[in-house]
Amino acid sequence: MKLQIGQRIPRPGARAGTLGTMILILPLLLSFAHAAQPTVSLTATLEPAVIPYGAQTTLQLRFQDCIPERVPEIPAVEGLQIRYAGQSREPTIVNGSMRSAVVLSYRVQAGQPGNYTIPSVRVRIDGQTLASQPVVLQVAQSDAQGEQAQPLILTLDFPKRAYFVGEATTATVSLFSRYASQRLLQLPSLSVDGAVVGTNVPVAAPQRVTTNNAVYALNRWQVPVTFVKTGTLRVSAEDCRLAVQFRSQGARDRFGLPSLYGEFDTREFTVSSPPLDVTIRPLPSENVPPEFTGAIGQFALKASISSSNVVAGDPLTLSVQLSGRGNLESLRWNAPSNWTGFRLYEPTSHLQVSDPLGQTGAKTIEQVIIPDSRAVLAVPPIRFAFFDPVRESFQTLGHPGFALKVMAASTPSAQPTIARAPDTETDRRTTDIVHIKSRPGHLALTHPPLIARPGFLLLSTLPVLAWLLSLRWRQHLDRLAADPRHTRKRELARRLKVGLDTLRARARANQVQEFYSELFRLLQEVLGERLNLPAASITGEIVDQRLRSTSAPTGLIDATEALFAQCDQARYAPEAVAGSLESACAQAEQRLRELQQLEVKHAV
Amino acid sequence: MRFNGFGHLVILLWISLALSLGSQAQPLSPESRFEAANRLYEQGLFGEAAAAYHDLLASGRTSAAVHYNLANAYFRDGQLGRAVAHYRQAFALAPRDPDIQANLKFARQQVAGTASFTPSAWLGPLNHLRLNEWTLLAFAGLCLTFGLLIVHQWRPAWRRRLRPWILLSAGLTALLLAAAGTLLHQQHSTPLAVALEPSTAIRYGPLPESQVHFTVSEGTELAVEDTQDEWVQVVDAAQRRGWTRADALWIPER
Repeated sequence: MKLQIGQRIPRPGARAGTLGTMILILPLLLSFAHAAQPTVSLTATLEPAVIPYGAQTTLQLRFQDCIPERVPEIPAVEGLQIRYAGQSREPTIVNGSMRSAVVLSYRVQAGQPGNYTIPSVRVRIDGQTLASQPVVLQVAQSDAQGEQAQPLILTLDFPKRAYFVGEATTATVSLFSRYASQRLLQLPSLSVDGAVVGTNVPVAAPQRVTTNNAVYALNRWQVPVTFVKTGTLRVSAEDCRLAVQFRSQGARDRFGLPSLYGEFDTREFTVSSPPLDVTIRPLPSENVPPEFTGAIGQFALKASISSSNVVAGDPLTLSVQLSGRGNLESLRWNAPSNWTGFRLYEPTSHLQVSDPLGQTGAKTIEQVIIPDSRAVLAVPPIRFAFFDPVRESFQTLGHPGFALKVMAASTPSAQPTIARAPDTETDRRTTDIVHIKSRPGHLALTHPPLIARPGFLLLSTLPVLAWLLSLRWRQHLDRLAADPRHTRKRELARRLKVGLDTLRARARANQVQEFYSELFRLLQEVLGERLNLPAASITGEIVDQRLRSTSAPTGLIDATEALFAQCDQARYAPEAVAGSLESACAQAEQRLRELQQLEVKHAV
Repeated sequence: MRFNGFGHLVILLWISLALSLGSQAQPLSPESRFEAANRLYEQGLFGEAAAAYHDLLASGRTSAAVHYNLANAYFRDGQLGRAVAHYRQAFALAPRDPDIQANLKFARQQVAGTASFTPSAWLGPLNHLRLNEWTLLAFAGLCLTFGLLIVHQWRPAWRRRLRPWILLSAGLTALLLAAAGTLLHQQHSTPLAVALEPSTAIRYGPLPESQVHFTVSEGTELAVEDTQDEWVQVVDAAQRRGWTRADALWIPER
């Protein structure tokens, strides 16, 4: 290679390195590209795949992420009629990306019973050939037996035909129905004399099955049963009621034409199962363990204790858990009465089931035991016996017991329940109740508590009302104190009352100077209040100056001036005063009252 | 008028009849009935004594001593549940009576199991007094507080001196009202029922077919939370809830 000035010197192998990198990267890029492309596919399904002769089914071709250019033809199958019925779209979201499917539907009907295979359907889309899988259609034979097959069948079954008395088992009730549109009105109930029957529990969703060359819808339930009587017992499932809709024959619309949609009739059916004989045997009478209390099934035993260190006389809680399958409700366990050194209380229990039939679970029994003294060293071994119907023999479970450290009681022992009554001086270890009381005390009539009596509540409001009244009274006084005119007016009324009494007394005593002196003072007080002037500044001239310019009656003003003149005369020349004091007193009283009621425009 | 022998006999019969009717017309006093019931108890006729105490209560008369003696009669008769119920009623009427406290405590100790519901410990001091006693104390506090407030209005010059006493009195009244209200709420909203049967089944639901949740022994005290027809919902000390028939329990009147 001839190089020129400025030309870059190629490194040996550089071109090969670049090419190699591209070769390495390209498949990776292609794989990413491939992964990014949606996966097209074609699937075929029959819905349903089993039909009775004369019925139709639907063949669906599902094109995932692609669209056929035209409706594909289904390969011909001898004995089958296949007609295109339509198409639909189904968008879906998968891993966050939108995908779409086109579904083409075809109606399929068979000319005769049998099994038919619809072969693979091949379609070319965008240069790619897609093929569906073959599907098989089963057309049930509808011969005379099939046509006369019962529309409703109820069956009852047990896992076995022989049980022991008290053994728990599960009955299976199955309802076969050929009706397309039905509604269950009443679940079947077991009829048996000598058994305890639990509640029906559905087994699974209804399904379609073929039996007796007919297609049925199947509903199934399980029922817990415990046989309590020996002998051969006849069991059946009865009174299963359902409502079925039928299309009315010859239904017509309002124009008299055959109805396209049809009218429906609803009819009720009640079906029962054939009876079943079950043999119930008694439990064996030999080798019955003394601890056996009627438990039947398969069980396991666990035991625990609340504490191993305890003071004598203090309670301990012993928990015994029996778990397994069987007659859990009737499981019982008690600490034997021959446990020496313990005081025993009635046990309590609670049950936890782990299946809807209530036959599997665990029962926990708690018993309070109280060791009497330090001589008690351990809780004795715990034993529980049951009858295993599978092994057909009695089994005994055991727990070795619990070692205890019992300390001496130095104080009166604490009790399991805390009494609300406080400890008193007589709080000592009691062994019996205190005797009855000889006196009845105050035998009162039964009453509701005070706090619930309306009369007492009303009484309780009195202090509040009294306080509110005092508050109002204080506000009134404060208002008066802030209004001097009002205060003066009230004071005037009081003084006038006292003054008039004095006048009458002076008049009776014929004390002329004292009478007119008092009268003068009263006139000053009244006119001073009315004219809002100091009382001491009121004279006869003031009456003329101030009252004449108001709306006061002229007669009253003249009479008032005359009174002032009389007062002056009495002061300076008492002997010249004419007339009796009593008549003067009456007149003066009248004038004073008129002046007191006089409305004048007050001077500022 | 002369009376022959027949006439004397008629008069005598008439007088006897009048006396017997008169004695029948006069009922026994409550105290006499109480003493009669006590005599039955002392003769060992506990069932008859309980019936006699019940008759006294049914006449509308009640006292702590009647409930206490009735509880003793039930206890001797082996009816632990009813004994606990009536000891509680006696305690409500006389909470400071040492005999009632002792017998209630003893009876509770005889109850098997640990399911008895016990109210919060802080409510214990409230039971030193009866509800009516707390109510009267609260009423006295109310009168004192508002009395001081009235003086506060009547004598403005004393306001400064009265203020701390008013605050103290108001605070004390509030506490007393709270105590009375709490005791009333405790007795009425969550009454404590007593199981009357040797073994009472507490079920998950208020139906005879419901599964048994747990059982309690006679005398166990359970808090009542709800009622539905003839069923009541109860809760025990372990906060286990369930339903049982109301006739299996003694439930205090609200």
